[in-house]
Amino acid sequence: MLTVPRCLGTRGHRLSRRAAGPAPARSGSHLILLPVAAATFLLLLLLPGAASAQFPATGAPYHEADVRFMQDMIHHHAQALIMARMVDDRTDRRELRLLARRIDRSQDDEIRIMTRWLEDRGEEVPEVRLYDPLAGEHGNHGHHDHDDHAGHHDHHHHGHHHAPTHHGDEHAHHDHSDMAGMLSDEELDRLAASHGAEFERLFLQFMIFHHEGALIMVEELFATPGAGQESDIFQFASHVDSDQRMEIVRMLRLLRETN
Amino acid sequence: MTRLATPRAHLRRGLAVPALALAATLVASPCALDAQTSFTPGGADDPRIGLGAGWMDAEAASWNMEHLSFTPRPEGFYNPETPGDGRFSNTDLAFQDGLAYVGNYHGFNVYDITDPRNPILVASVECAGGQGDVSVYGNLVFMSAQETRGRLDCGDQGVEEAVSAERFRGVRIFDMSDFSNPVQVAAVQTCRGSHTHTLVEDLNDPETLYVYNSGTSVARSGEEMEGCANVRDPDDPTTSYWSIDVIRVPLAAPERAELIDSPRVFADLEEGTIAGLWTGGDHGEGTQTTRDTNQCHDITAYPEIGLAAGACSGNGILFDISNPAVPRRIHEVVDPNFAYWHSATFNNDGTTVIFTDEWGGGGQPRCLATDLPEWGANTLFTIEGGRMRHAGYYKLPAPQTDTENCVAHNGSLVPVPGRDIKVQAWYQGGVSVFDFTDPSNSYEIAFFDRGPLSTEQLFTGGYWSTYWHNGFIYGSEISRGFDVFELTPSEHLSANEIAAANLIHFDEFNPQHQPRVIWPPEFVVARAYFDQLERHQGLPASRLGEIAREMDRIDAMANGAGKRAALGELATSLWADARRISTGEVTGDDVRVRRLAGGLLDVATAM
Repeated sequence: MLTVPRCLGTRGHRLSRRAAGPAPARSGSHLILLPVAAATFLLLLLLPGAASAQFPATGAPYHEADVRFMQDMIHHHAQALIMARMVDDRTDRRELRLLARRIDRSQDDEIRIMTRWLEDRGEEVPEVRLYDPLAGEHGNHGHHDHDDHAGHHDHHHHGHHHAPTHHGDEHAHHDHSDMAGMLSDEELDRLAASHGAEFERLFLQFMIFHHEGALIMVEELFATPGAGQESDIFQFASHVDSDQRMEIVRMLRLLRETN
Repeated sequence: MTRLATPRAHLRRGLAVPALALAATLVASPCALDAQTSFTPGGADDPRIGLGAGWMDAEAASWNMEHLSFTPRPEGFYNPETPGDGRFSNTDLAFQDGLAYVGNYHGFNVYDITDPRNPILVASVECAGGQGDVSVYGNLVFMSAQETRGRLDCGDQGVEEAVSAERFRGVRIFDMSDFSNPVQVAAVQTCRGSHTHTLVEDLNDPETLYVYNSGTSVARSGEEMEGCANVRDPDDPTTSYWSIDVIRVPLAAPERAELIDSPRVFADLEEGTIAGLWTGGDHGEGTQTTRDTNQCHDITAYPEIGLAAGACSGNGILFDISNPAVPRRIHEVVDPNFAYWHSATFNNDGTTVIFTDEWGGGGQPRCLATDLPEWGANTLFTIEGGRMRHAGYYKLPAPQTDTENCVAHNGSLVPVPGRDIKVQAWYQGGVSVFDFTDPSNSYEIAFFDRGPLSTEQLFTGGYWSTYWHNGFIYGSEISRGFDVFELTPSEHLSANEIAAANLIHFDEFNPQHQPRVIWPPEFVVARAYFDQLERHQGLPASRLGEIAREMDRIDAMANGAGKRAALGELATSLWADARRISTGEVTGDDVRVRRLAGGLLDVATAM
C-alpha cells in the first residue's frame, strides 16, 4: 500500500464565483481521518485507490477580485505605455529615455502575462480602449491599430500574441479615471503638449502617481478576503509591487534632479 | 539508517500507483539526441538549438552526461490539462542516503533513489502554500511556505479572511520518522513568509539547529501576526522589510522551534539606517537595473569555514556565521550587470563564490541570442581575507527560444578533486555542468536540455534545481518531474576524475548548507590529478609517459613497504620537477605537479 498523506480540510472549496467549467471531481469518499500524534496539525491519510483518482484540473481557487485586478491592471499598464511612448519625441534626457524604455518593456511583458492568466481561466480579456493623444501622430487617416506599434519595440515576441492594443477612437474609449493612478484625458493632453523640462517634470509626476495607483491596487487585492492567494496571482502581484516600487524610487530621484 | 526500512517496505506494493500515471500520458524524452563529437557549445552547431517541443515528448540533447531516468510528478501534484499551473510547480531538492525529497508548491514527494534508473515514490505529503523548498535533517523535513493561501492545516482551499489565525506563512517542520504518518510538529510563522530557508549547524552545539529564513514577498499586518508591519519605510523601526529571520530548533524538541531574531543585516550603522545597502536603480549607462536590498533571496551557509553567502536582491553579501545565532555581515558587493541576486555557491576551498542573477524572476526568456552573456548569468568572486573581488561571469552558452523561460538558477558542486565544477539548473535552458577552477575563465563541460514545453506560448517550466549527490545528478523539473543523470567520461572530464568524485558520500545533503569535501586517500584521486596535469600539459609529454607507466606499476603492486617506498620515490621525483618549474629551469605547471605528488603521498601515508 502506498500511503499518501493528505491534509485536513475541504479541498473542494472554491473561492471564485465563476460558474463556468466542469465541476471538479473530488475524491472525498476516499478520505478517512486517522488520529495522529499532534492534534493541532492533523494530516489526513488517503487510502489506496484514491491516489489514482483524477486530480481536479479545472478548479483554480481564484477569486473574483483576482480577475478584476488583472483586468484593471491591463488598463492601468496600457496607459503607462501611452505615456512612455511620448518620451522620445519630447526630451533628449538620457535617463528619462532609458526609464521609458524600461517601463515600456516591463509593462508590455506584464500585459502579456495578465492576458494569458485570464485566457487560461476562460475569463474575459478586456479590450483596451483608452484615450491616446498620440493616436493621430502615427497612423495616416484615423486608422490607429497599434498592433504594429506593440510589435516593433519587442521584436522577440511573436507567435500567439494577444496583448491588447489601444485605439485612438476617443469616442469609444472607456473612462477609467475612477481607478487608482489613472490620468484623465486632460492630463494626458497636457503631457502630450509639453516639451523639454516641463515635459520631464510632468511625466515624472504623472508616472509616479500612476505607479502609486498600481501599489494601491495590489494593497487592495491582498486586503480583500480570499483574494491574491492563487499561486500565479500571488507571484504576479508581488512582482508588480516590487517592480513599481523600484521605479518610483528612481523617478523620485530624477524628479529631484529636475526641480 | 533504520528509517529506511519503512519506505522500502512500501516499494513493491506502491508500484502500481505511479505506473498508472506513466502508462496514461508519459514518455520520458523518447527522442534524446547524443551530441556530435565536434561542435562548439553555444555555437551555431550546438545540438540544443532547434530541439522539438512538447510537454512529455520534447526532444532532448545531452553531452557528456547520460540521462538515467525520468519520473513524472505523481497524481495530485500536476494539472493534466496544462504544464503551466503554478500551484503544482516542482521546486527545490534535499537528500538523504538513498532518498530524494522533491519540493512542490503543493507539498513534497520523497523518492527512493537506491536504483537511480528507477526512483520509486515512497511518500507524498500534500501541503499547499509555495514555494515548498525543502531541507532534511535526521527525521525532520523543513518546508518553506510564502503564499497568502498557506494554511496551518496544509489545506489548499486558501484562507477566507484577510486576517486569519488559520493562515500559515513561514517554515513548516515535519517529523518523517514514519513515512506512512508524517506529522507537522512545528510551524514557525514569519512576517514575510518563507521563500527559501537555509539550515545552519552550530558546530559548538550539536543539540541545536538554526534556520535562516528569507522572506521575499508582501509582509503581513500586525493584526495577523504580532510584531509584523507591512510598511515600506526604512525610517519606521517596526517595518518587516530589510531583515532576515533566524529560527532556533532544539533538536530534542523540534516542536519548540521559534523565531529568535530578525536581524537588520543590511543596516548602515554610521548612517543610522536599516536600508544601508543598494537602494535600487541602475549603475550608469548601459547597466542593468538592480532591485533594492530589503531581503535576501537565498543564503548558502558553509559552517566549516564560518561563512555564509547571501544573495540578497541588490547585493552579494558575506556573513560571518561563527556564531550561527548572530549572522554578521562582513562584506558586500554590487554588480552592474545584475538585476536580482538570487543564490550562491562556494567552491570547496572557500576561495571562490558564485552568485546567480535571476533577471526577470524566472518566468521570462532571458537566454535569447540577443541577451547579453553577462545578464541573467552567474557572477564569480574570489574571497580573500573575508573580502570579495570580482573575477568573471558564466552563462549558459546555448541560446534558447522566446517560449522558454531561462535564467541562472540553482546548482551545486561536483566534487572532482583538483577542480571546481558546478552543475546548474537554467529552467528551460536545461542543465549545464561547467568548470570554474579559474573563476575568470569558466567553461561548459557537459549538458542536458529538452526542447520547449510549447512553441506557442511560454509556460514556466524547466529545471528549478540540479544537484550532484553521491555520484549522480538529480534534477527537479518544474512542470515535468524528476530526472536522474550520470556524468560520462570525455576530453573535459576523465573516468578517473569521475571515479574520484564518486568516492564522496554524504548521508545527508542540503545544497544551501554546504559541506566540506575531503577526498579519501585513494589511488584514483592521484590518477585524477595526473589526468589534469596531462590535460594542461604541465610536464613534457615524455616525462608524463614515464609517470603514467610508473603509476600503473605501483597501482598493480600489493600494499606494503615496497609500494609505500615506490609511492614516496615517485612523489619525491615530482617535487623535483616542480622545483625546476618554479625556478624557471623548465616550463610546466608546478601547482598541478605538486598536487599529484601530494595525492601519491596521501596514498602512501594511509597504507
